[in-house]
Amino acid sequence: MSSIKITKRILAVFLFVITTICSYAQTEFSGIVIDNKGVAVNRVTCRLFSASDSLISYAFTNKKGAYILRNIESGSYIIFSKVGYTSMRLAVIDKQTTYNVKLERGEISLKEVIVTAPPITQRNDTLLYNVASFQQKGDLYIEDVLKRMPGIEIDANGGITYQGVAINQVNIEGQNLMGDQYNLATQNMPAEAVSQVQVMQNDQPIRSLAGKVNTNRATLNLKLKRDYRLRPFGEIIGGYGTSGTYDDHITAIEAGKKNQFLLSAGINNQGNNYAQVVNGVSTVNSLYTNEPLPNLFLQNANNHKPPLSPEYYLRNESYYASMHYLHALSKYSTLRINGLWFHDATNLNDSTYDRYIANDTTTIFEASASHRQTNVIKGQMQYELNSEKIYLQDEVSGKLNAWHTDESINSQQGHVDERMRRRPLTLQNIFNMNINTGARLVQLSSIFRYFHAKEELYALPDTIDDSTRLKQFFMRNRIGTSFNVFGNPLLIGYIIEYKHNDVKQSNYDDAQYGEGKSISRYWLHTLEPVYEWNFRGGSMEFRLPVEWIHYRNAWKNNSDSRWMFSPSVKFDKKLNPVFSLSANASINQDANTIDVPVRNAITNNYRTFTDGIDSLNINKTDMVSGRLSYLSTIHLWSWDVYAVWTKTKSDYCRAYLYMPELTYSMAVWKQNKQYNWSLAYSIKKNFRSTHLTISHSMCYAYNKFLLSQNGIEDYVHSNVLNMSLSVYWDKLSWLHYKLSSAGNISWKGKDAFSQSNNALHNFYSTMHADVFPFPQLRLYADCSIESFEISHGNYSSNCFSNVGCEWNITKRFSLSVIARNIFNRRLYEETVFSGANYQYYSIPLCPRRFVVECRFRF
Amino acid sequence: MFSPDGGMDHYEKTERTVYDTAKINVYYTLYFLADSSKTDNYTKGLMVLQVSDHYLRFGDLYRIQLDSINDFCAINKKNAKKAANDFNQTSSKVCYGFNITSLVDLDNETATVQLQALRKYQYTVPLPKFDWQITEGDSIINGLACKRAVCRYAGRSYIAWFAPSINLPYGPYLFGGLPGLIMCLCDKSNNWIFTNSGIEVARSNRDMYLYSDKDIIKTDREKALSAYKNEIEDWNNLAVDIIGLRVIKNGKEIKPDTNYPRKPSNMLELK
Repeated sequence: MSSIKITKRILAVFLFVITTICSYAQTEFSGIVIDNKGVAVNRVTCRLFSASDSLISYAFTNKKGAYILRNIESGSYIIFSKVGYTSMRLAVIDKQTTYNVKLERGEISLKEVIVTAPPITQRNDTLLYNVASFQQKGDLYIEDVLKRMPGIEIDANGGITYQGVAINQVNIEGQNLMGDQYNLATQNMPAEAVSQVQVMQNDQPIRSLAGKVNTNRATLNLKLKRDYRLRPFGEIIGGYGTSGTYDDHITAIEAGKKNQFLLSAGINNQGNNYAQVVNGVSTVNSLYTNEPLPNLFLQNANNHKPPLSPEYYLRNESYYASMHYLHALSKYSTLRINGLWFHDATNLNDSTYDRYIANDTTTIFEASASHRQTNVIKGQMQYELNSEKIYLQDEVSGKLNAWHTDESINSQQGHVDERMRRRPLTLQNIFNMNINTGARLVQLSSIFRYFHAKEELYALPDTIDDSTRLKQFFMRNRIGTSFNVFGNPLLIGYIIEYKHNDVKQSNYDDAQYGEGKSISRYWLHTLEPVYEWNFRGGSMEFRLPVEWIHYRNAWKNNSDSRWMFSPSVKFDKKLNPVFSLSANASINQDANTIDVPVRNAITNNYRTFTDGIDSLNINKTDMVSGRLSYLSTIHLWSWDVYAVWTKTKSDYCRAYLYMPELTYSMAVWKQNKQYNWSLAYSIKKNFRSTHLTISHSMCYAYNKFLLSQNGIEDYVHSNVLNMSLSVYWDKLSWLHYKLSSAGNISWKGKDAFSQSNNALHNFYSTMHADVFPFPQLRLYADCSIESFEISHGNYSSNCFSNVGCEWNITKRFSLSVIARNIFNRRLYEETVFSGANYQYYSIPLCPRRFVVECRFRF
Repeated sequence: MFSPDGGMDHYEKTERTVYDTAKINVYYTLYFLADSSKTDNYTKGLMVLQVSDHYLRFGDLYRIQLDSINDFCAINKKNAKKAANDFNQTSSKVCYGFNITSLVDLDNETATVQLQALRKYQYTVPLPKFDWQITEGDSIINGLACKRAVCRYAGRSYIAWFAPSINLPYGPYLFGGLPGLIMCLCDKSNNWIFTNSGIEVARSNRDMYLYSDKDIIKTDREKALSAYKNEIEDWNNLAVDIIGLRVIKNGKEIKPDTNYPRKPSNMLELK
């Protein structure tokens, strides 16, 4: 019985399994799809439809041609289709679960849709930045917004670089109104007036060169909002502070298509000396038409500038007014006039203590109170024809400076009153032209300049009444073109340069010294071939400038000629995606044409005298450098190692005589060598989740140079080790925080001057925080701490802190309150070892100051 | 390269591996929000899906054209200058915000993706399975009747409109697996929108290739997407090191501070 029961149970289980399998099999269809050659067809769409043509299920064949259709209830027919094959329709047969299909190859039949490929809105190489997208709380001027735009960097003077390269120019509504003073526009134009910043990358501003000469420079164009285009706009600022200080400013701009003008004026006594307004910025045109102005002979005995914002220490009264006007003469030609007047009167009180080490160590202490006045008038007129056939630019400019310094000096030698008057005048013409012959481009550039400076020095009680006059004429003309050599460019340029110096010193106005006249001139011819070789993953650049200089000093009645070669090679190579290597090697020979030759000693100030350089001198510098970089974007960390070695040989060196009553710098004509090398590394790590960025760097520099003073001569081996650490945190949208700390140690080796290593330790740290409790309100605070080792183990610390708030009450009106130097630091001190010598410097600081500023925009 | 006197650009032939020849090209216009908080600022691109029997390739149409001009210039160096304008024009149209090329191996069901912000990365994964739900909804796109389907993939919910009358179970990028060509694909927040703008039997742009230069970092999907995200968000800072951006201050080239705020990244694949 039991065996029968068992058999029945087994049978029941078997029947259940069979039934289950059968019922399961009926919930899906499967099969294989092949083509007419019997090859399985992949990716055939198998669709199961109901009798009412509704899609019930679908599947795709795999590479074996197999498919499985599930949820097949109420399925009526299956369609097998694939592009390039004839579709097949099979009716579902009751109880049939397997449907194998053979598809026939056919034409690709598509319901072809017309291809529409509308142009991308980005126009050529122009990027359009919407100002509103970048403008953040607290951004008042367009410069503040430009700083936030990717790839744009702005230096302290207002000069703009894009992707690391100086831009061509800043246009306003397509016109170059400002020339090399575009910083005045970007620093004063309200951000709210600008709708768009157009960055024309690789922009060739010269139409005749467009498409023929590539440039990696960009042009910025400021597009104004519609309601700012047809009327003058600008702002008026009135700022008043404690101790009777003020800072007032007005800017008015009108930017029409035919005429544009910008007027700007300011007046303040809060430490802003408008340096950026007076200096302007360097532009691309200055590549071959830039020559430094000669150094003036008169220099203040103490011309030290502390590494602080002038607002902390400067007691000034400064005014400026500038006018810029542009008129479009035709579609392609413009006439531009720029003018500036500037006046600054500054009172400075500072103290220095210098110790010059020698057998008879000399110490000089000076406490000085000076009143310095600067007056500048400069004007510029430029005509530009920028057509598709020809480019012509001529710019006439002039600049007159007048510096007056009255200084009262107390030293251990007694009291000295010194008066300096310096009036340099510069007149110059710059001309650029491009000739497009079709097959070749030839570029001409030229500068002619006349420089005149009259300098007077009067000092008591050792009556010095001295005056010097310098007249200099300078010209440089260049012609250049390029050739294709083995698929790479060979650039060739030829430059001819001439300079004539005429110096007259009143102290030497007698027959023996030729009426104190020093007349000199030189001709310099330069041929500069440059060959660029680009290869996969890198490039090499070979330069071989060849120069020939003919130099003549009238008082010696002889001349000197030299050939100079300055070969260099530059190598860049990506070793792999994360490592890159670059190296440079060069031998550079360079004639010193900047220092004005003078046959006699020059009086620099009441106690300093310098031997003039009366012969041609050449500097030769050998340099080798290398850099290895690593960057992982996966882990966001990078490091960089850089090493450089240089050796410099000069034809002469300076020997100094330091005495309590005077300093004398003598030119000694013997070979002077200087060596230095340095090694630096930096590491940066970005912690994504915590929004924290930490960077660290360390640099060691060694310098060996010849020092000769008070009869002792030896090589000084100086060393500096610098370390820095910076932390930036921006996780919260309403709080941004940055901390930077740095320290350095300097020391020297034993030498003939001292057995001491002169070790000094310095430390600096700055913190900055911005808080935005409401959209219209910005609170900020910054603090910097500096600690200098004044003498061994004796530290002087300075802590500066500012707090402020800005409140935009309405769209046109805003109010700021600023507290500067809230810890009321009254004295700044620092020391430095320069080789063997020690200098201590101190300057009194402006007291704590509260300033209220109202701003009205029109 | 800067040449004041009229130098010439340097072109290197693209290194590539050609896998197949396209039979059909499907074009998609892409709109995407580089910053999801700025909903009116779409970036635009034109993409092409190349289809053969064994492979699918998806990438930027102008990038293919740019590669072609570049290779012409690299081979014909003497005539390179004449094509420089075309090169610049085409380059300006490439959608560098979505610099991704994918190749699907239909036989082995794998997908290889190459992506580049500052550096080039490549990873290979099994072809993703999309769990499409066909839902109620009809539309007509480019004159073709379309059905609606939804799915969730890589952190986003997608709506696809597919044309059952086009027997191509494919779509933009790696998307596919519907019984008809995807004519429109967008995520529910409209961050990424692919709209079909044409289908044609391939007569040009036929090479289906991946780049094969040595600079490509082959890694896994997680690391590649992480690096891509880092490079988009920290582009300004990382470019200083990778491209070697330098600032000229006081006449000296110096490395700028790299404390730019992070840019938003609104990647197609969030995870």
